[in-house]
Amino acid sequence: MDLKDKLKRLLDSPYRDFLEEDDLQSEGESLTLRQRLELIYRRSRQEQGLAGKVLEPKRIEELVQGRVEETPYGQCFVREIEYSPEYCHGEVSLSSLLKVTPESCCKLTGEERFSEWSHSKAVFVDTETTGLSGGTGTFIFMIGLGYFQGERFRLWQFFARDYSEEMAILYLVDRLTQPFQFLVTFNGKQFDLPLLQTRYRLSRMDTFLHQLSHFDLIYPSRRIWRLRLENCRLSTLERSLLGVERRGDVPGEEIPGVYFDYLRSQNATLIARVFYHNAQDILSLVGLMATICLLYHRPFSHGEWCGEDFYSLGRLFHQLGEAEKGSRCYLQALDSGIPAHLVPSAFKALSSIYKKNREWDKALKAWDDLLVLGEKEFDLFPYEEIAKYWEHQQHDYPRATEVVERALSHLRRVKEELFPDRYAAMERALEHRLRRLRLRAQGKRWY
Amino acid sequence: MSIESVLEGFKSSPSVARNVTTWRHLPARKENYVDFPPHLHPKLAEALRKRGIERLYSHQATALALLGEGKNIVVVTPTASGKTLCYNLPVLQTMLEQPQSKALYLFPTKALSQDQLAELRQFSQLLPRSIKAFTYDGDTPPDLRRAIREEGEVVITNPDMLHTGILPHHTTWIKFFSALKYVVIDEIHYYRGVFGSHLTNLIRRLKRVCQHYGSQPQYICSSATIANPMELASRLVEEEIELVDNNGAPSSEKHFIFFNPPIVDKSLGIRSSYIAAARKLSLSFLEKSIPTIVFATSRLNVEVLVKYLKDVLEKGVKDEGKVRGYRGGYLPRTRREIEKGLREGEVIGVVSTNALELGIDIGSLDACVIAGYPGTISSTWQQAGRSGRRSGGAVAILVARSNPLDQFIINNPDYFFGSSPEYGLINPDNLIVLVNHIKCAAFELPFVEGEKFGSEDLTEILRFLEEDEILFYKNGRWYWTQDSYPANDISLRSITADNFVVIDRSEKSKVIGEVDYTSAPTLLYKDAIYMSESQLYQVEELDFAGRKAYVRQVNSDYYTDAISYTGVRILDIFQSQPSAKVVKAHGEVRVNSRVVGYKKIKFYTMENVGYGEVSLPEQEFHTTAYWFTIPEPALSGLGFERSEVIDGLLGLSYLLQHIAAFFLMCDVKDIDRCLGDKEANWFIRQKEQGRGIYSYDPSPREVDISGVRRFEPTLFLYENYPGGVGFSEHLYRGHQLLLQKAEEAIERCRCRYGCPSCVGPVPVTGSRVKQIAYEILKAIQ
Repeated sequence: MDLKDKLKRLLDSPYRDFLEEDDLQSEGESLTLRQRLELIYRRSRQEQGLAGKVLEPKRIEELVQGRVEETPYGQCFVREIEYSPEYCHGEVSLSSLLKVTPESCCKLTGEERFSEWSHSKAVFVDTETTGLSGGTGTFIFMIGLGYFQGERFRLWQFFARDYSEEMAILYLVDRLTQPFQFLVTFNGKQFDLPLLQTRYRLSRMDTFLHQLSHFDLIYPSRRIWRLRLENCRLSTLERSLLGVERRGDVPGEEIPGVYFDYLRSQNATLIARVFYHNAQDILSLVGLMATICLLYHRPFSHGEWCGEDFYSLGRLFHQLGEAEKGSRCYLQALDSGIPAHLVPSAFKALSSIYKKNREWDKALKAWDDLLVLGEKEFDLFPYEEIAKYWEHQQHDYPRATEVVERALSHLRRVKEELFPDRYAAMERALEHRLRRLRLRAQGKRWY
Repeated sequence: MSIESVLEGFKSSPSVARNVTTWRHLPARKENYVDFPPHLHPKLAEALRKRGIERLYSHQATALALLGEGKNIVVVTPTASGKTLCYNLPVLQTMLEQPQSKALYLFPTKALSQDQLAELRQFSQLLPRSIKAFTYDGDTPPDLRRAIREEGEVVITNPDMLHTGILPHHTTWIKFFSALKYVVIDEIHYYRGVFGSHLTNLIRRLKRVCQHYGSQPQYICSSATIANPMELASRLVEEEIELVDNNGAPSSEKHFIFFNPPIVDKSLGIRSSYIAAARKLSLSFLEKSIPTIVFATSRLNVEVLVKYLKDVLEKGVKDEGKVRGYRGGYLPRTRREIEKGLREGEVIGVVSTNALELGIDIGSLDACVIAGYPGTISSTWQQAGRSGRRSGGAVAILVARSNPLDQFIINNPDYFFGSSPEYGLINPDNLIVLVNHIKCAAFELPFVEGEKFGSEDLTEILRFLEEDEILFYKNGRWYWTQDSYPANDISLRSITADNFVVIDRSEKSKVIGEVDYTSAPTLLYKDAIYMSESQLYQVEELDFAGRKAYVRQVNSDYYTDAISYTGVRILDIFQSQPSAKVVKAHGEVRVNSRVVGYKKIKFYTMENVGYGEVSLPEQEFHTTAYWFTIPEPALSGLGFERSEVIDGLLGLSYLLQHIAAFFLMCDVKDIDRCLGDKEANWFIRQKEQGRGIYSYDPSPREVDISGVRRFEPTLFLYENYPGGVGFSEHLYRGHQLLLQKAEEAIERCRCRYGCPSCVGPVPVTGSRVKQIAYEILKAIQ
């Protein structure tokens, strides 16, 4: 019995009796596949209003200065630009990148490998893609990369005039990046690199790109400017920090559509603007990296940072273990003015730096400031810290007791404003401390 | 004390015996063992011996042999027959022989995946090297995912994750797909109808990816007892399949008892509560410490029964946790704990929804009480299969509700014991489903000229998508040209993935459970009593937009049951064809359902102790439907009362829904029926007793059907999927055939008044349904 017979034998449900094989087959035969597709999708087609614009073909070669490059994987279009060191991107000259030090890169990335940093070993990369969602259906149609040759900055852009040229651009990019040791991107860890890896794998090609030491500028940018800027997209950063104004740009979210339209119409007018967009992005990588690394070394040399920036820098330095720079930034932040809700955290951070350095006078001053702030919104922290200071540093138990008593009476005064569970926990903690202090004051073991 | 003595007690107790309508004795089946085959890897044989397995069951050996020959198989054996080894053995054997090999396990639910993972890990610990097995689903922490992609040897996942999370990112799975040797698809009876049609297309996509990386896996399917496992498996994986059904596992003798709660009010035909009966029967086992599983038909009933059983059995602290509930919506941690408790014997009684019908390992139970017919023959056998793993006797009791279907089954035992179980039907080439997956496939890898995908003309479809600017054609390839991720827009199941969380305010805002989107309005309305593990909570606030319900622990002697209705309104007519007899049409409709209130029901006495109003937004979805309207003249000649016509049409709609499902090769649940008025002036709603006719606007209100001016009833068959899947157009074109087949079905059916095979089981009222439906059918053709 072959499979078909077996199936037939199995098909004997109560309803099967009423339906002949022919009935099942005949369904849909009256309409062609095309008619059925149109029936289902007719309305969505009408809504889309497809096939509206018809453009005359216009080749990229006529609009962008570049050349067609032959590779073992076919052709693609290549554009090359060279910038002199004096070239200014917004307010930042490209040569300022030459001052970036290995130390700043190591600290900001947390990677030892950057101790060998040299601008001549770094390549700046940005890709243009057919989508932002990732996955194997997102193609890369343009890869821009830049590097310093001597003091001059060279920028290459590889463009796939259709999908079949993607392998050629991947091939050229891989060849060109091989001599480099460092990679600089913006959000490349999340987006560009995984996507490049996917494209290389799909093309059954290998790449060194993911072995390069990678400095993704999005992380330090977020740490420093998240508080001040409405977002930390590259376009926002370059406008606010580098003073870059783009003219005739294509917004990033429109780029996939521009490429799809170009594929069908073969009119490259808007693609020329994508070349511009990509080049600007790469220049912004250079400008942004220079700005961040210089800020690391000399946070106070530049007059344009505001209170929030210093606050963020203070936190950054504090986290990086550079307490001295951190405390200066916090002080500068308080001096320049920061939003009220950040003030207590700034004082707390400052006091913990002082405490660690055993600079007790400064610490006490910071806690006193916090007590004043606490008049508006109750905060247990300064009371506890001051009490600990008297108890553990000075062994002055009566004084510590007095602080705790003040805290308790303050707490009870504001009881109504506090969430009951939180109130109870704080009250318990204070009472416990008080009991212990009383025992200690009597010279007893408190535990 | 043994099962036998309890059963003797049943026989001698008149209150039980007189309500038993059927008592069948299913003899024990002897085991059929086979020695370890010579090619079984010695280390694997050693591991089996360590687990106390000296020989294999015949079906396990057959599976191993067929797979060794490179065949694909479907294993069909009852619950608890050692099905898992049928795939774990060959998979582990291959991994020992070829250490680079990989296997993909697909389970329909996450709970099953967890269970399999534990089983596989335990087993592989006995091997010289432990196999790296992982689950990969929505619960997998992001930092673990990369390791699983690169190092996982057995990856256990579900179709939804394969669809949105794995295939569209196949390049990150390059090692896995390059060496994929086996694809295991367990519980294939679950993949019926639209879900199954999706799965076939998912396997088509999987095959393309495997081919890209040069692998060609073998398929191992397993199924519960359904009528056509071979057909279903071969349609799901589209390969030649060998059937393995030589079950060698022993089964103990089993008593299968049908219990019908007694009539308490003869004039109204009201029966005593089936829940109370299920409680009493379960207790006769549990009080003797006989491990028992109770199946209930809804989450609410699970909770009610757990409470009843706990009230009796958990008197002291030491008894706490002897009885547990089990249902979807419990947190995964709680479920694992219950499963473990059952296996280890700390839990002796569990009350579950059909969640435990699937192959989750809960060890051996002796008695099974099914409170309410689960709806299909196949499910009933699955549930009954939960008892009887040990040697010695086992028992399964079906307790009937008073609804027509339950009453039919309980009064016609031969229908249940004699019929083949349900069919698993799918139609993977349903155009909407197919085109959706072609999009996903094009996203994964460009289509190459001459490729095959499904049985429709692929080139024609690709060209169509090219015209719609979804694909772009160049040099013999079609490329994806959309800035989107198509898998995200296509859900494999009709239910939305949104869950409501239930937050207990009395305990520091702790999350105590989850409720799926569709059930939320019927369980979490304000003032509802929410039960979880028999603790009672009252809903204080339902934050619909935030998908949260805030509850507080309460003591209450009643629980609540929602009252809801469903209606269909026509939005747009795609095609319509009037004739002298009926007006048939298909188009877009809006399906509305709404919870309008609730009943307060007292525990134990089941008294109705009050009503409450609920103001919740109407749940609505748009879908496509096929319908026909019967004009007044066609009906007036028949001489039936309007209410009789409605009875007849309800019977007819039941029949048409079942024939349509078969015609469309979908599951009965994929489509639904509704009887109403074309202009949406009235619709039918179930009441406590019988049914009523309700007006639509402004709010539903009962009306007298004889007062309705133009009585032109419309019968809707609509698709149970938001947006529709394109069934209606087929039904519209098959209208004549449908009616004709319906007529033949009634003619051929040997029942007298109606049964589940024709117009549905006879309702409490109106034994003329079969005849009325038949005459209406004749009149409208």
